[in-house]
Amino acid sequence: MFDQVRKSLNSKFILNSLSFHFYSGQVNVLLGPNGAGKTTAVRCLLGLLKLDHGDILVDNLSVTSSAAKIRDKVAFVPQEDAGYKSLTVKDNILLITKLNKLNDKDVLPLIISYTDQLKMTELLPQDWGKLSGGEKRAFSLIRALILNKPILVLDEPTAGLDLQRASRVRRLIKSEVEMGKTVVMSSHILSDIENLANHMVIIRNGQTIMEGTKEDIKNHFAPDSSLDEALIVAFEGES
Amino acid sequence: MELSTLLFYEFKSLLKQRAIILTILIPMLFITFLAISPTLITQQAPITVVVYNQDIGINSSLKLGKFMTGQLQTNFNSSTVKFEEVNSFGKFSNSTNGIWFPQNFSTVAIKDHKLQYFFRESSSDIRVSSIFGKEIQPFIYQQFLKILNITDLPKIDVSVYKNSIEQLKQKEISIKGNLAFPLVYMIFLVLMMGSSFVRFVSFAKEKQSNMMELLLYSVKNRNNLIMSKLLIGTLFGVSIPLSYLFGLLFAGSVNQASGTSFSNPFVIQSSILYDPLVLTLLIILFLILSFMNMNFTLFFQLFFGRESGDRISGYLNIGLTFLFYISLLVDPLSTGIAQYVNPYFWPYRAVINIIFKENLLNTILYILAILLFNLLLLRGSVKAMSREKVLFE
Repeated sequence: MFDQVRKSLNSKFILNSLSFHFYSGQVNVLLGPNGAGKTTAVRCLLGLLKLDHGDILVDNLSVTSSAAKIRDKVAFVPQEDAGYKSLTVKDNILLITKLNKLNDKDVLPLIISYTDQLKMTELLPQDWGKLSGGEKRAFSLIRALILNKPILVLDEPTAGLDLQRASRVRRLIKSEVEMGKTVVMSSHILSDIENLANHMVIIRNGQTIMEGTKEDIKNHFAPDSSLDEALIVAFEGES
Repeated sequence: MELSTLLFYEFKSLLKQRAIILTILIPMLFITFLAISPTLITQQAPITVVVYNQDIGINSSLKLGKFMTGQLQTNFNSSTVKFEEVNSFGKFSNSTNGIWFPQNFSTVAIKDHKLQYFFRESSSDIRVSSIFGKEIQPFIYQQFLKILNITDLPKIDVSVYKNSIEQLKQKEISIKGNLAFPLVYMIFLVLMMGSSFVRFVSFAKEKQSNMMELLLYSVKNRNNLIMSKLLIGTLFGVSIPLSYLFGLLFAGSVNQASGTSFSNPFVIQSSILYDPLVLTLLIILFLILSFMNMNFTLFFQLFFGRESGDRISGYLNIGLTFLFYISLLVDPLSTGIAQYVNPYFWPYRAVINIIFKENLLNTILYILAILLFNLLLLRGSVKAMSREKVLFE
């Protein structure tokens, strides 16, 4: 839960009394135009940025006092495709799993299992720098899933993926939620929102505009139109 | 565990970058080519040392002069040095390099426990000085001990023919200069190359590959991130001067084997490097310099952000490196404000002091200054790590 979170960077308010809930065992989608504060909100949630005011609670743990404990519960896929270009895909995954104190013995079968599901096993020995944007995205997700943490924070998980892979990734996310995991994700892709979102939070200028189900959002912003249209209205600031 | 994981993957990632391997290998290849080229194009004659033995011995049974002459000829005749016995003082005094065992050599040695002999050496071919000082004199001394089989060590009194005290002092300065001059040049190269190398290892790479955020989220202790950078940077940074040293040693061996004149400056350097103490101290010096270089850059990058930090540390590094080089170019043993204010001068001077066994207090102060300087930079880096705007800039 975000509670009156305020955060400024370079003397500019990025989050301005941001408050919303996210629900466990569901896909919570953060939505907003570029510069709305989604990435800053995620960084605050992970304790990478200190809050100027307010608090974020995850399983009753406060990010201001227990950021490290929260990070133990959260697997994270950053907005950009993070990976050392000169290391192989496998090494890039193992680096993060080792930092999370997981044994290679336990991790390797998981890597194979996930990459098989996305039909990407043959790419494991390749250098990260040689992957396409979509492939990097998919492996970033696999790297996060392998950590097997109860909360998944995903920033644009299907951006740049082809239709088939995007569909497989959505299936993966769904199956993780079915296993009881909580997903907090940001996305601009309508298929993600329509297929995955249980709970939606719309942010603009660092403030919560509205939160609720797809139907709530649609009914509030554009009752007679599509969800797509409702989101455009929400982002443009007309209600 | 966390630090070792970061170090392992950092190391692996750097090893796979061809540019880095080339950066490390180039100094070795460059210096080898430069130092061997005189050997490839010129064939040097060996040094000829004439020996005039006038010693009459004691009771005609113990003739130390004759014994020493024989030992020198047996043990030192090689492609580099040739001993030639002469039978008159005139030939000795007209020679370029020579040893004279006087009439009373055995008598003085036995009665006074003094080895009194004379030698003259070329002022232009400094390999003679090195051979006399490091090989021939200790050899004669050892032989003397062996033959007399005595336990109370005699005082060695080696009189140097024709060399006044002023000339001796001048020679000492020239020997120091022979080490210090090339060292200043090497440090200049190391710091210049190190500055460019730091970019490979610094956090710029994480920012380019968007790893910063993921690493910050993944590590339990952020100081490990700084330490992994510092250690890997130091390791790779020191590989540049080590590559240079290996090239020098290799070229020196080739040159010595082929009898190239020691006046070739690269051979002087390599002959100095064969001294294990000097070699060890040089490696320590380069480790410290690489660490300081890395620490310096990381601090500015973390404190001022990637772009500003890169610029500031780049200008400062180059400025201090040139200040170091230019202020020591004329006299590598000089000390003054231009040197004292430059942190890169401190380890250099401390090592020079240790090699020449002088200014103990001064050396301790330099070491303390180096420690304090690095601790302050580290503390600053750790503090800067929590300045989030720098991390995400």
